[in-house]
Amino acid sequence: MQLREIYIDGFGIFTNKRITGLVPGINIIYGKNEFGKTTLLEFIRRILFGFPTKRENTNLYTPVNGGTLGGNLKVILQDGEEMVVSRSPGPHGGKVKIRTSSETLEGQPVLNQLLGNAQIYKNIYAFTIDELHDFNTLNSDDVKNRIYGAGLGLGNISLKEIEAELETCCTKIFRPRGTSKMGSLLEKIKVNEQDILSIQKNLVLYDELQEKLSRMLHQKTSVQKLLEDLESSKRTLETQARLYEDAIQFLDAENKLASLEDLSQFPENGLKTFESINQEKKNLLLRIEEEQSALQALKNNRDILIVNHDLLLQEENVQKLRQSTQSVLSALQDLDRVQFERENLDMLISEEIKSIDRGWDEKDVMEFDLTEAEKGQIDSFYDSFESLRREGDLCKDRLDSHHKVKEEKKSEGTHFPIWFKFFCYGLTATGFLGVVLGGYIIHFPLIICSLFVIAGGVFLSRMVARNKKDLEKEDLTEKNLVQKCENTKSDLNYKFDEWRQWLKIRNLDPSIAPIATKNIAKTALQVKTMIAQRTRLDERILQMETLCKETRENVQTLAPLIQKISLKNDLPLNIEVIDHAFDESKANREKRELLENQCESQGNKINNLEDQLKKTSDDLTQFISSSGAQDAADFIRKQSILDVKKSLEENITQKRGIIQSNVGLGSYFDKFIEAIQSVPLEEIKQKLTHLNADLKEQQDNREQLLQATGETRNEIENLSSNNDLIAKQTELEVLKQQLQSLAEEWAAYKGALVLLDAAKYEYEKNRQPGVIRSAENLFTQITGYQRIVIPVDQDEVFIENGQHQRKGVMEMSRGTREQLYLAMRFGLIDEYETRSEPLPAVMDDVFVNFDDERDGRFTKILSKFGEQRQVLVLTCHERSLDAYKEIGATTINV
Amino acid sequence: MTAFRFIHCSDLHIDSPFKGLASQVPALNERLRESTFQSFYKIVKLAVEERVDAVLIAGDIFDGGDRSLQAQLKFRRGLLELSEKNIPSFIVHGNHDPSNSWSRKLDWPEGTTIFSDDKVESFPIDRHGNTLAWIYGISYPRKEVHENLALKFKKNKKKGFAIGLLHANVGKQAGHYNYSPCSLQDLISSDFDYWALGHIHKFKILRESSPAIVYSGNTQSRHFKETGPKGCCLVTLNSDAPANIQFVVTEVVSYISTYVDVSGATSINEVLLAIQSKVEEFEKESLTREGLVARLILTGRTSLHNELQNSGSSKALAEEVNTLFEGHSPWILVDLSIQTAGTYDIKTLKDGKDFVADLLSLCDENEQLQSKIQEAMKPVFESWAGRKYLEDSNIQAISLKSRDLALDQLVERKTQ
Repeated sequence: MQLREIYIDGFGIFTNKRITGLVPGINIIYGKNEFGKTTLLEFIRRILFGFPTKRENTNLYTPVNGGTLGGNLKVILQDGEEMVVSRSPGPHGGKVKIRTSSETLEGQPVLNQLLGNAQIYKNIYAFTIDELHDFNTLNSDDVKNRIYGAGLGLGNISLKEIEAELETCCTKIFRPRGTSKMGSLLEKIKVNEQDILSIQKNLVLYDELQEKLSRMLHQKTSVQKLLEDLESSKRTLETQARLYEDAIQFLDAENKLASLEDLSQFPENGLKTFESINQEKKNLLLRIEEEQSALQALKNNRDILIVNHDLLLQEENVQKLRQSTQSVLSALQDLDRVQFERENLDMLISEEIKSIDRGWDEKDVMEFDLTEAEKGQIDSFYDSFESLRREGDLCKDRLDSHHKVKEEKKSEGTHFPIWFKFFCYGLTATGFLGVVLGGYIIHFPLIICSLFVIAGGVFLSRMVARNKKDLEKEDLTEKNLVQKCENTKSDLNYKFDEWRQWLKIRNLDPSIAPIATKNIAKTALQVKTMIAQRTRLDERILQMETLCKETRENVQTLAPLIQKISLKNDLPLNIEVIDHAFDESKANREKRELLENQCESQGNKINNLEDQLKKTSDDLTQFISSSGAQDAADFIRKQSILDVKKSLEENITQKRGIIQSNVGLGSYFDKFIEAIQSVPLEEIKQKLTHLNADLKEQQDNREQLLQATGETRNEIENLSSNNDLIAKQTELEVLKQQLQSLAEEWAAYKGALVLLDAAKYEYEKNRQPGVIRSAENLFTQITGYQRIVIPVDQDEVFIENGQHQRKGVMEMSRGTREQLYLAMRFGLIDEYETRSEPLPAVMDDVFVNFDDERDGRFTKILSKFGEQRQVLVLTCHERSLDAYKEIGATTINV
Repeated sequence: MTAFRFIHCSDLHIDSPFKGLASQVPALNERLRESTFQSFYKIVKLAVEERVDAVLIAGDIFDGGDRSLQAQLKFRRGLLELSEKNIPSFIVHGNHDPSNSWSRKLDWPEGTTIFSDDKVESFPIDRHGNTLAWIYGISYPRKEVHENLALKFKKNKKKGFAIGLLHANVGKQAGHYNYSPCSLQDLISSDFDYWALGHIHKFKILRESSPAIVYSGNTQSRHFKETGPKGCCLVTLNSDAPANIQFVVTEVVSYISTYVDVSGATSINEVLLAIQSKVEEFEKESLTREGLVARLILTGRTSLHNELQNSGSSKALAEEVNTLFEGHSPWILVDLSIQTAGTYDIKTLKDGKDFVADLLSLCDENEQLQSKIQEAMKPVFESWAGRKYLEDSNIQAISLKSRDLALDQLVERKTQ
């Protein structure tokens, strides 16, 4: 690819700048100082590879004189195809367009295809003097990598960086010293192994513990045996100590028993019998005494009772008085009320008599009486009067109604229905026709029937005529009624006369009506009843007064017999006093009789008891003598000895029981007693103290053993249930696996480094000679040195003269160094273009530090270099311009 | 002669840890740890259910180096149960649990016979007064026994079946310590009826009959490398028929290690789905087990390669996966290993003429590169204090990983 035209729309100091006339071979672009060499070089690079972003902290070459950043390059390819590469600002380095004669393409990748390895172009085809100087500041290794890197096809990737990165990865994973992943993993593994080792000791520990346990169990058994023996001895001694007193008492009692008087004759339960008889005797004496005092009390009670015999003799009067008490009380209470009642009745009688007739008195009333016949007569009179009066009224009413009807009939006249008349005539005519027909056909039955029909018609006509007659009889009825009314009236008058006569006979007012007469009879009867009632009241008053009088007389008769009575008191009170005095006397008399009887039976009882006492005294005397005692005192003494003996025997039995229940029977008991007799208590206690100490010691021993056994068992249990080993082992396996993985990862990184190193070596070995040879050739032509050497096993670049004297980069002059790098670039370009399309090389005044001789040589080299490719040399030196003109370079003034 | 029925098992390795897991799931720790004992306990239950005449254990009951008391106590618990059911048990010590590694003070239940380590002993099994069989056996006195113990077995002319109980490597089987080495012929010529062997962790019938020579294999896998079903043999011997050997699976946890190709996966979710589908595939095969431990090696080129390489992301992914299978029956534990690669095209890169092409060409020269890498690995694998915990690495895998790492740096970064 070669440049033909450069158009700058805006870039740094350039605006709307077009550089034309670029040709194959060497093109010298000349301008004065500050004409913008570097700007132009950068423009070409940026149009081809993109604009940097602000973040890249580099000169953006923003147009200072207007215009839009960007422009285009007109290029021609090796095959002769022309195209224009233009770029305008935009993301990712700007918007690039490649316009050919047939199409317009866009995008950096399209352009990169034309440029081949874009990074190589950037590094070795286009460079400024400053970029040559950059090599100075880099160390030798970087120089090498940069030089080779440019030809490696790795773009801007630095092999050195890659190696450093891989190395870092390796170091992170492993380094012999210092921290690394594998190192810390190894530490973990060691710790884990230690843990495992300590757990593995459990197996030995388990065996040891089992042995220890079995030893301790054996020990425990022997201690247990010893303890049992000691405890047995202790129990024996404790029994001896505890029963010592009892044993001593037992022995004492036996001795005492042997020394007491023989009382084999003395009755077994003598004291009980003696005491029983004695007690019986005492009881009898006591009872006699009690009975006598009871008798005395009875007598005293009897004597204090008082009886009014005189009063008791008047029992009949008192009874009488008692019987009349209630009547007297009633009489006294009712007398006044009855008298008042009688007076009221008397008054009522007088008023009733007067209501009959003022002239009447009690005698008249008493005499007046109506028999049942007379009452019937009164009723008969009354009924007659009523019947006659009603009849008269009825006649009168019927007469009035007759008159009324008559008047009405008169106004209406008589009326029979016309059809009835025609019916009668028709019937007669039919009969007549029948007779005629019968006669004509000589049929008798028809004739007879027709005759009956004629007779019917005649009869009906006559009936009608008779009715007319009935209406004409109305006047007779009226006459009858008038007659009847008059008759009734005369009957009534007659009856009245009869009634008056009847009243007169009975001395009664003739004007009174029959009903009133019956009422007088009723009132007279009531008055009679009241008079009878008054008579009864009079009788009752008399009766009551008589009773009171008799009672008073009786009280007066009885009063002298009773002390507390006073006649001034009212009658009921006195009756009560007398009654009470009588009852009291009577009761006293009965009680006294009872007490008398009791005194008698009490005396009999005392006599019986005295007999019993005597018998009992005899029994006692007999019992005492039968027991061998002289008297009661002797009996008591013997009895007390017997009691002592019994108590001693009981004591012996009890103590023996206690001892035997503790130590056993037979020989055990005998041995025990013997031991007690032979050893004093103090010695027993002393032995016990020693034994207790021994026992305590053995118990402690056993406790310790038990505890130790338990602990050992726990330890064994813990060991048995400890599942940590497998967990730790699993963890260890995982750690190992992780370590293995890391080691392999490390090995892979290390391998990658080895591979890179080997590849680099190979590259250097196989490809470097081409580059170096080419560069060496150029360098020798410029400098006269014969060789450029980059040893494979070293990172230094050396130059070697004919005498095989080598010089390192740092020993070279600046000019020589720049010539070396330039030669090497040219060498790389040569080598690179064996595989790719040649690209235009752009150099910015890279020869300024060359001396004249070397400059001349370089110009020749450049001339040759430019034969195969386009070279753009940017310069502001006229000297250079002339020199290049000499070798046929095209000059373009800017 | 009446039929004689017994269980033959070996290599219980009770309470020995599972090897090869790079992380633990706390909820499943206990189950994993208990798995070896649980599988032994399954044998005990089987013996009781099948009412066998005896249980024969051909060594390596524990890992002697572990010196685990708990393991021995657990073992005794199982034997006690057999004893209570009147099932006698016969035990020989193997190279992992030689007689000097056992507790001296542990009292073994009645009916338990542990063979001596100095001579071949024989014990009868009687039923109703008749001797049904004679069990011959000898224990390992120490770990390394290079003597051919099989030659010590001499059948006495006694009534009943003759069964040899031996921990040995028959026919110098590779990948196993060559302890008590003997040939098949040594065993055949002994005139026994059955050889109950231990040592090899895989069920294998070396000879069907006259005599039957059988490795019962271990009862529970403890490593991803131990593949195939694990269990014991339920054997019935009849005088007039060949031995009836029935293999009964006893492992409670199955371990699988497999690759999961996540090529082209563009999201973690896709990776998760691929893992889930793989696990479910294996889960169906493990339904008879209580648990499944799956090592899943993620392979393939994916744009997620860089993300998966990040240890934080891969850890989160592993947690996510295990959460996914939480509460599952059988329970599932997933151990992830990331061996993915970037999406760059190796062939095209190799065809280039640049540094990367040179690098890839170098990788073809395997041996030289590998020896260089091995040289570089020495600081860790040869001179570091922790080297004893490391196993020999697969240098080929490391070389491949190194190449991918280098490419990650050179190509992935370039395209970023």
